[in-house]
Amino acid sequence: MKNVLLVLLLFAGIGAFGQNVDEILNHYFENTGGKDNWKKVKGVKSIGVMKMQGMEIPFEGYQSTNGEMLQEADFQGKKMIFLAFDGKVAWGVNFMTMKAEKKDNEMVENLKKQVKDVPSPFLDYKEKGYLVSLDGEKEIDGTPTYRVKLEKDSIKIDGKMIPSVEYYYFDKENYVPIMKESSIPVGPMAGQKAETYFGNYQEAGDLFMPYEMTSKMNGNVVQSMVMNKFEINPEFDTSVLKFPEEDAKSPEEKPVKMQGAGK
Amino acid sequence: MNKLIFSSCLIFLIFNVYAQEYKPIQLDAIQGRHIGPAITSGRITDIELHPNKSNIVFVGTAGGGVWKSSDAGLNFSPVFDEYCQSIGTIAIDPINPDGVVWVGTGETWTRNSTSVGCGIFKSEDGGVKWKNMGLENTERISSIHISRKDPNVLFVGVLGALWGDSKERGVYKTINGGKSWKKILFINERTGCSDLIVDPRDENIMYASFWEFRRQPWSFVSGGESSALYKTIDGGQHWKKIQNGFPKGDLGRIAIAYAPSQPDRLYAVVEAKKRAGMYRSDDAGEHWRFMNGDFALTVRPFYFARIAVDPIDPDVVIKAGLMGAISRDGGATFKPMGGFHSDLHDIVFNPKYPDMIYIGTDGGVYRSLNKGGSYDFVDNIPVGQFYQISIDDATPFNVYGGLQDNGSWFAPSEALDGGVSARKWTGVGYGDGFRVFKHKTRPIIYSEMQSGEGVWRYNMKYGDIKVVKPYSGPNDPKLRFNWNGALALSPNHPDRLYIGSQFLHVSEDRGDTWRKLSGDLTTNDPAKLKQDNSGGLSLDNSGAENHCTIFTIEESPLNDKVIWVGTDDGNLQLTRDGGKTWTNLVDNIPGLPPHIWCYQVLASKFEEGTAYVVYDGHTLNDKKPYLYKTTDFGRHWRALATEDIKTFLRSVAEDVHNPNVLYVGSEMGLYITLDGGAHWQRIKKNVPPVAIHAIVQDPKTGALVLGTHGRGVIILDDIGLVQQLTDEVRQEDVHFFDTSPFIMHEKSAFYTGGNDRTSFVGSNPRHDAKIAYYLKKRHLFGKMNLTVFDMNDKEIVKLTPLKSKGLNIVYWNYRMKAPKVAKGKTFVFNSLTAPRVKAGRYKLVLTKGKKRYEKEIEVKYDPRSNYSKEDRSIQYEKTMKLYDMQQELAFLVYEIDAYRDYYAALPQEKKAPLQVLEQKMKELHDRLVVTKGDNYVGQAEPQLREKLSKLYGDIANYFGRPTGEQLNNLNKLEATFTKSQSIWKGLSSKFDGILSKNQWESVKIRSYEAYLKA
Repeated sequence: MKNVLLVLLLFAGIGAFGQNVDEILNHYFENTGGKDNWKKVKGVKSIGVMKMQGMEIPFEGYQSTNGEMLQEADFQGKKMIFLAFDGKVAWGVNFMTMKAEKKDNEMVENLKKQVKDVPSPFLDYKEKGYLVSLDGEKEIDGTPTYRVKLEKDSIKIDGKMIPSVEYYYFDKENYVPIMKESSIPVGPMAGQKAETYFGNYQEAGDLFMPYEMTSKMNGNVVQSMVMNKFEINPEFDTSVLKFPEEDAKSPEEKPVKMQGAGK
Repeated sequence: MNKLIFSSCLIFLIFNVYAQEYKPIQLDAIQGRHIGPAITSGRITDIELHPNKSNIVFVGTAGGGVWKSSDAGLNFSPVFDEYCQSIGTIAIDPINPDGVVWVGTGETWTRNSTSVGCGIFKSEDGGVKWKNMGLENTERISSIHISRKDPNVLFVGVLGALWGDSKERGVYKTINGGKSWKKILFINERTGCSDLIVDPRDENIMYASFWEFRRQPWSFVSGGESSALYKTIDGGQHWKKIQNGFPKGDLGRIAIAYAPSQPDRLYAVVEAKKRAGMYRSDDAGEHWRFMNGDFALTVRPFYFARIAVDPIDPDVVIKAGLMGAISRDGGATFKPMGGFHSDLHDIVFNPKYPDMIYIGTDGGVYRSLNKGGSYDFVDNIPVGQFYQISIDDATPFNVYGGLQDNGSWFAPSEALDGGVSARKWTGVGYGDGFRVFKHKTRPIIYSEMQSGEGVWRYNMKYGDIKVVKPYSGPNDPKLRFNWNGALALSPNHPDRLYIGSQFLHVSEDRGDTWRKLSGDLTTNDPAKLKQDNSGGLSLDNSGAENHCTIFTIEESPLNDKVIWVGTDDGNLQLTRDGGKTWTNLVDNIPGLPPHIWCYQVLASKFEEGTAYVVYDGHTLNDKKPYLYKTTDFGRHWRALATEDIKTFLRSVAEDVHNPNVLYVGSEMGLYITLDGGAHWQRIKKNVPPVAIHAIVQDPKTGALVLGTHGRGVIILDDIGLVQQLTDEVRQEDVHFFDTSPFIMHEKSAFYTGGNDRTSFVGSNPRHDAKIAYYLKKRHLFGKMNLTVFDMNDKEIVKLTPLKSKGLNIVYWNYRMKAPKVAKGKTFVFNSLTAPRVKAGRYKLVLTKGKKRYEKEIEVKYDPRSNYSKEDRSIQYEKTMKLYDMQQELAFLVYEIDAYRDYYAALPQEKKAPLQVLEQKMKELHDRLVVTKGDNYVGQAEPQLREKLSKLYGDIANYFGRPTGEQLNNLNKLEATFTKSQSIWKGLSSKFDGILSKNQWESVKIRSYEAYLKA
């Protein structure tokens, strides 16, 4: 047994020097449930709490490989759909009027491109046309990591196509990302780095997923998402994603049904 | 078996090596807080525009890194914070301008206080990530040209070292994107490439100006026989001088530019003894003719050597300078510019819309939309260069300091109305500002101007500004003050003030009268007293090269007779009898090169005989760190700088509580030692590798305040925590730090921002409880929770624990969860307020997997507030009463909804006996919460929920006694609520009775507790 341990130890040491990006990603998928299980994922529902500025807001999210997306929060007992997307039309409820309003066309075009990121942008990344490369090594808060550069399809911001580049920092010991970094494309903070930290990796069906995601700007926590539950391939009633027509009732009066919802 | 033994030995060996190696601790939880100033900016060295997109602007600064704007200069962000902050030049790849950007580090405007670079860097993603691409020892890169045909081909001009000879100078070429470099033109070790331009039509044609220059601490020489302008037409294989028409004799710095619309038209500004000024060639450098020798063109060539030509009109040309000058006739005549901060270093025209220009000055970036007719100031590049700073003992403390060419200022370290904005800074001096002090007891501020030209005493109460500098006496030689004159306060006598020339002067009456406390304490070496002749071809007698002067003065806080004095020519003098006798201690310092600059001497707060001294050799071309400590009044010194410190030092501070903790400011960042100097590590988070010229610590809060020479003032509020990181603590898996009782801040103010919304605002310190703990390893798998309980184990709030290896700080705002409120048509925003806990002890519980760690903390009310115990008590009681009422109301509405849903789901035939009751329930419901309207101007008349929420918000957001009106209002709402509950009781029991009578299923209602948890 000791022998085995020794061999493993030495192997781990050697392995660390000659990594290429596909090896890192293979380890990642292997350590988080195996590629086969990842490929079985058609939809993911996340149920948890969003923490920001001292507030705790229960939320539910859904994303599918068909491009469907739902982000819904429970605000003072009322369900508020921030984003619903059926693959063609995206909308959300206006906080002032509490009525559904369509999202702008750029956002819709960009959302369409996000379909490929479900359940992971790294899964079959070559077929998706993504570029992935090992961009060096870096310590993140004292933890040695591999920096993996992910170049996705360009997105459109304020009428201009801009490259969509993200850096993932994979923990060298466990090969799971502990941080994602991107630069803010627009607004007064344009060019500043936005960081999302992943933590509390736990089982989610046959996979391992981060149950906590914390966003930071300039080292300060902006918000945290703490999951209570992930559901893999849940039943999902897509009719909720349909934009409520003008004469229809405002969406909060329409009961929103999500199978297996936490409430 | 043998293999096993071998492997074991190997592992043992590896272990042993690791056991001896000092591993830096992860301290990123200790973060710098920048407070500006934004009222001024700092020296800009280079500006670069995207060739096609007007909105992309890069700015290089003298000491504050690279900044990028994506909105045409409205907002800038720093993008180079991991690397050295002195920037020479920036270039954008013409083939991939959205992606590839190169930065050559090391400012080339070679003033006395300039910093050094660290090589050439490349970004492939528009400035997000950078990679060093070599040329690490070049010190100053003046020019980068990226091929328009092949992005892997670059030509780079290296100016090189300022304070000594260097083989690194010249023109370099790479053909593999910087993997390797070849020097293609080298003149000599004294002469560097000050400018390199490439013909836009043919990259084989290049022009390179070479400049012979040298700075010494006491003198600057610009020009010599090696200065020249070269041209190649074969891509750098052969170069020839092109000076036909230039002045004869030695030349100095030569600025060069071509007209983009007519590249054979070249402009050069030539430094020379005679006929210095602008020259023009219309045949690609074959012949030159003198155009103009105005002051605006010839002033200080070492500082101003940039020419910008309009991209469309070849006759419009601007020369950088004191205020700059513009010609509209091809350089024949020039009109002075103005309307911005003096000392203009760079000008760029928008390539497509040349009326739009950006300029970079000693005071920041300006934009003009009418080709220099008028300007607006970019107020969010806070790159001020402090020479020195100090703080006072106010709460919150104020920070005082002087800036390179941007005067002297002070500002509070925090401001209630949102942060330390530009308007919070108060000007207290002109020119270059240096040492600024607040009088300990009187409303007086002392400040000074360069080289002792002014020492001001400013009485803020009377608006009285008096010059109080010493003059030379009848038998004295001329007084020599350093550029950064040594002004100092006595820690023992509030009215005592010191200043150093070559003598130490002391005043006991706040500067009205002075007496000499010493003879000449410097080497008084005539070879180093050459200020009058400094400059080389262009005389530059600014006072910047005053040498053999006192630079640092320190009276011991433990004994007013003990005074330490350090001089710029290397002496370290001590008196122990109040100035009667002096001893030069410099020969006692082991390993110290002769005559390097004594930058700071620091007397210990703990022991009278203990002192620290920082020496800086970079002005003699020695960039090693020198830091020493004595414990016996300077008889013996021990070197404290280790290889952990990568470059030369400027400042040192001793921790206010722990003599083993020291902080040093280097030319590239802040270092800390926890073991008295045996090991050092950098504090990096939000503290870029900027030059740190001064460090002070607030004894009350422990905040460490850095006077940086390029990023203004940076404050580290939580640095005190690091002292608990002992070796024992580092062995624990989880360790909670001891913390002093936390004070719940009770101050409020209205936000006073307005149209200055693009302006940088310095951030405030956090007044939350700072829950600090150490993790031996990053937590990655499984749950980790952090919860606050009261001492009766009642849960107060769940926090989100950070999980980094090393030190973590989680903030708690002393609040519990916000109340659960009744579901209505709209929202009640006041109910987002969570009640604040009472002062007292609380328990933290951190769970990590199955392990549990606990720690008690204490929170206290703000002792500066004037709320009585009874006020606070009633505030808390009423807040919680309204909190509970809102939750009870929420439950009541939940019950009503459940009954009404039950009714709605009944078949029509069963509804009849319940119809009237249901109607009454609806009426009750509609009096409890709004059921129509929206959250803006369509809002409905407020009902009970809305009224409770508003009153709750008003009381909970205050810290003291609610008003009588609020208490009356609370009684009124309580009566309404009690009545509603009673009505509900009646209605629901009647409803239940009917169900029971008919043996229908009862309405399913969760318990109150279950409802709250859901």
